Amino acid sequence: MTFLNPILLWGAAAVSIPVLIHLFNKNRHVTRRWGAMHLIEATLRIQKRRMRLENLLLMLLRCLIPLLLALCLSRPVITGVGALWGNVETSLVLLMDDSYSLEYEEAGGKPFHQARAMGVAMVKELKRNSDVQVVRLSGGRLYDSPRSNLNRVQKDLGEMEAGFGKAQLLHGFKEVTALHQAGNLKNMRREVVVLTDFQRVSWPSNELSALKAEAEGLKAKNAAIDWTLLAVGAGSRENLCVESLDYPSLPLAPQQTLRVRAAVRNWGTQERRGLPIAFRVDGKVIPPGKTLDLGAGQMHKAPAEDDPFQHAFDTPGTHVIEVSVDQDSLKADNTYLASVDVWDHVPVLVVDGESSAASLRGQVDFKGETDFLRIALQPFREVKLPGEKDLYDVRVIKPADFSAQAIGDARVIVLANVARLEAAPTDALKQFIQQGGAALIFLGDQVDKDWYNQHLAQAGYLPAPLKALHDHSREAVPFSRVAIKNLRHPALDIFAGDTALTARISQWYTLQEQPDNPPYTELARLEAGDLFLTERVVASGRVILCASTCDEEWMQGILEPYYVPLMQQLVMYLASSVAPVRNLSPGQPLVAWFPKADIGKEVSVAYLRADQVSEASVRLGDNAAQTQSLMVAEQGQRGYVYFGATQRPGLYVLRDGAGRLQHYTVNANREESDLKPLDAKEQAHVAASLEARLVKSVDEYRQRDHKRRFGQEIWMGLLWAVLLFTFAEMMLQQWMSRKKA
Amino acid sequence: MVHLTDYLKPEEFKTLKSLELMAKQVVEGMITGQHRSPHKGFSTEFAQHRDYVPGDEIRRLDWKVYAKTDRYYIREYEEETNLRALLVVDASGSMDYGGEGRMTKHQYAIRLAAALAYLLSTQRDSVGLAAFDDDLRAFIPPRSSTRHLRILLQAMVDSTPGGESDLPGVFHKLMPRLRRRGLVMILSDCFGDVAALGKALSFFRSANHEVLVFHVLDPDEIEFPFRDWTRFESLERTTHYRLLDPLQFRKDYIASYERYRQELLDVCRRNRIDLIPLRTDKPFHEALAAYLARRHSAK
Repeated sequence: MTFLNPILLWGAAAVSIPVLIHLFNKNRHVTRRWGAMHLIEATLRIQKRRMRLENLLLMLLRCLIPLLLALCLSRPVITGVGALWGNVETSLVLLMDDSYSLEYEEAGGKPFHQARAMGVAMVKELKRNSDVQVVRLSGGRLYDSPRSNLNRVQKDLGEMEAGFGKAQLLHGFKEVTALHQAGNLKNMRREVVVLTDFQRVSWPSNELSALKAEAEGLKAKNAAIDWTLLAVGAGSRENLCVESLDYPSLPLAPQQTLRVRAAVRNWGTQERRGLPIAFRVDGKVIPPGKTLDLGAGQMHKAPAEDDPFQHAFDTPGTHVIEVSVDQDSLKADNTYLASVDVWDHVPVLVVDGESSAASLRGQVDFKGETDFLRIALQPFREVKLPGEKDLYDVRVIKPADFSAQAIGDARVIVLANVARLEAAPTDALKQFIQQGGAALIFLGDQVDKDWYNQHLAQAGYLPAPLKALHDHSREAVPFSRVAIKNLRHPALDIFAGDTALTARISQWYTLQEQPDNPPYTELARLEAGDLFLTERVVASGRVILCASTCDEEWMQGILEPYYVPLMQQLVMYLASSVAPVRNLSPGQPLVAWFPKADIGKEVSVAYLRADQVSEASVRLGDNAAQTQSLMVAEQGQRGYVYFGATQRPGLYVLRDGAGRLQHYTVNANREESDLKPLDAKEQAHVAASLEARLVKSVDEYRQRDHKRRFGQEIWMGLLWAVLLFTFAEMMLQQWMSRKKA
Repeated sequence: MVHLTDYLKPEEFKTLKSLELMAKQVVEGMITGQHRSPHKGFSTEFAQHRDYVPGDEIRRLDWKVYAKTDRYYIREYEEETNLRALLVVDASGSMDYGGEGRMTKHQYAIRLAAALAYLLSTQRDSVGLAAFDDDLRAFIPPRSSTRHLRILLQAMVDSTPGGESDLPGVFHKLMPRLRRRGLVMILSDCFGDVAALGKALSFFRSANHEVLVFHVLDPDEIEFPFRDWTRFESLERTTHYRLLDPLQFRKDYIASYERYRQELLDVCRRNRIDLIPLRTDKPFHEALAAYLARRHSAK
């Protein structure tokens, strides 16, 4: 027990007043010579025990009243076990739910602002030399290690913003474990406060056991941690969101028509009719706008499939498209952004293992292995159609000419029936793939199976090792058709429409399949049962292996409609996979590549919230408030930029030294758009499972924290006791007076 | 020289003169006045004349004097006294208590005793005195002469209260000195063992004495009106005292007093003894008059 006004405890000396009065009265007696002593003696014999009891009780009450009053005025505080912890240095970890659901505009302000203010208040109450770490539940920490500069922490907390992706409680709990293991919770008193809106999606019941295991794991490690769950926000359920966009995943060519549809969901309980949906390209509204009717809890794709939003880009580069439904109080999920690459030039290096002199001169005599492939990739050039420009720029070389220098700016390398490569070209190929390049490998009669298996497959650069050459040409049906396996794959989704993949394969290499955990993705399989197209991701690069050739030697029907789109799609898919990923999830690093000449130059990344995206901002890529400068680093033969702070959904605009812009978008997982919170019983269950205190408001937290940290003031109870004892004294006195009377 | 008026106020004196002490029962001895005697025809020596009062027998008129003076006189003889009364006055320490502005119980008692002595002597009854505390301090046998009254009064004046009271012991000592039946009037606060007192009183009754107990108390002893803390020091034993808060004590004290009074009454009633309660704040002649009236009506 402690006292807030200990000096007033001296008032407890008043306890002696009734005793002194008693003694004073006793000493201030009169003396009387008396005859009837026998009556006094008789009376004393009767009343001695009873009177003593009554008088003692009265004396006790009279002593207790000033004593309790003095205690009351000195404001005693019962601290119990907490007294051991009270007012000591603390290691505080704040698990801040910074998901975008806390950006909901409600009467008391945004829940995140409430959480932020609460965090600041908690830090403010810490004793000097305490330390604080703030863990973002969307991912990451505010500091590398806990900070003990509490003023700075308050400032940083006050500047924190929400609007991030889904709150990952398990991540937060694991961060606490990591902090403990790293010895970062160095103070004896440790406290973890989870500031959350208790959104149901963030607290899935199947994750509770994992959270509990983390908390118990800490307990088992003798990490005495006080857990508090602080509920913020009123928990409104009404919300609309654009859940996703349907748009081509591969880069577009100029003037190629972009078709866009959006999935819009009504998470609320009210039907919404005539909901306006807007489509913007580079911040500019593209008419006409569309409307949508959405029942409660429904999701619809809009506009209609036969009337999507459409746009054709004039210029190459990255462009920003967005669809928005701005009709509710949570703005963060009302807009879905996407960055679209528009390319007018895709350099492709073809290594021809059976080249002819003409093909090497850029002519077509159909004697070379890659003549058909070249025509398929640059048809306008081959037919010399004036005014038309091919997207692909194909360069054909012999295997002997293949080198790192020969790769140049090629986005895709095609190996066509290449027997083998020398050591240096092999290393160059591997390095190209390793650093994010893409390779398309066709086999053929020239292929040295052992070299492929030894130098590429064993090193993990082939999707699967080559097993044996299979000749189907002598069968009754001298070919095997392609049984499409994966029409959802971007490289083959073109065959989901009217165009059929009618290739007939007469010879092929069988591949060593791995039924369990294959390192490759199966794109297509032959009707004969063997793999036809397989894909493997190698480090940052990608390799697609075709078990047959790319000419009519083993592949029949090359002049049929499937061949050109198949080749273009495979190359475009690989080229786009080599290109940086433009549309990121929160926290996924932003990566950009630059020519080697740009290494060491400065670039900048500007961040724009979805509601800040405008025609001007997209064009200028300028947001002075949130712009970071970066240096282009060296990575192999290329310049490289890495930017990891992409936790916030929105638009990231990368500007290079020459003023060229690249647009990256971050869209949060829309799970957070379901605002339904856990009900009170479920919240209590969660708190009980985690052995945490559950507080519903800032005041309650303060009260409980104050009680726990500093104890419980009991002056009110004492005051009641004083009143009670005063009343009891009065009653006893009256009762005794009546008896006297 | 002691005068009766030293002890009686004028109004008391006047009242007493008009009172008659009526014997309740026939006492041994010759009676020629109002008191009937079992020894009739017993001649006595002339003592004096006195005025005739209504009720006197006609045959006792002195006709010769009437013939000379034309007034009625009654002839009285020395042996005519028919009542032998003994005033037993408590002179123990407890009798020395007197409340604020009041006489002590002892003073009150000797005033009453004086009044009684005078009354009896005016009726030519023999009256004696015994004063005691824990022992018999003074004893004057009953006589009926005027000179004897002065002796009695002087003895009263000489008695000073002190010492512990022992009523039963004193009564036992007194019994052998009362050879003839008579009236024993005890003036005391009767503090002490009531049961023992009752036993002693029964000895008087068994000897056919009529016994009157004038129970003299100060109002303080009845009402216990004190408020301040008080050290009550015993008047009989100097080392004995009690320090009390009277406010808390009063109710139980009064209950104790009531119990004691009731016990005393019961003892007296059992022995057919009249108990006359007297408060020192009340004129004793009023209580005495009321008692005599009651005895007269009982006769």
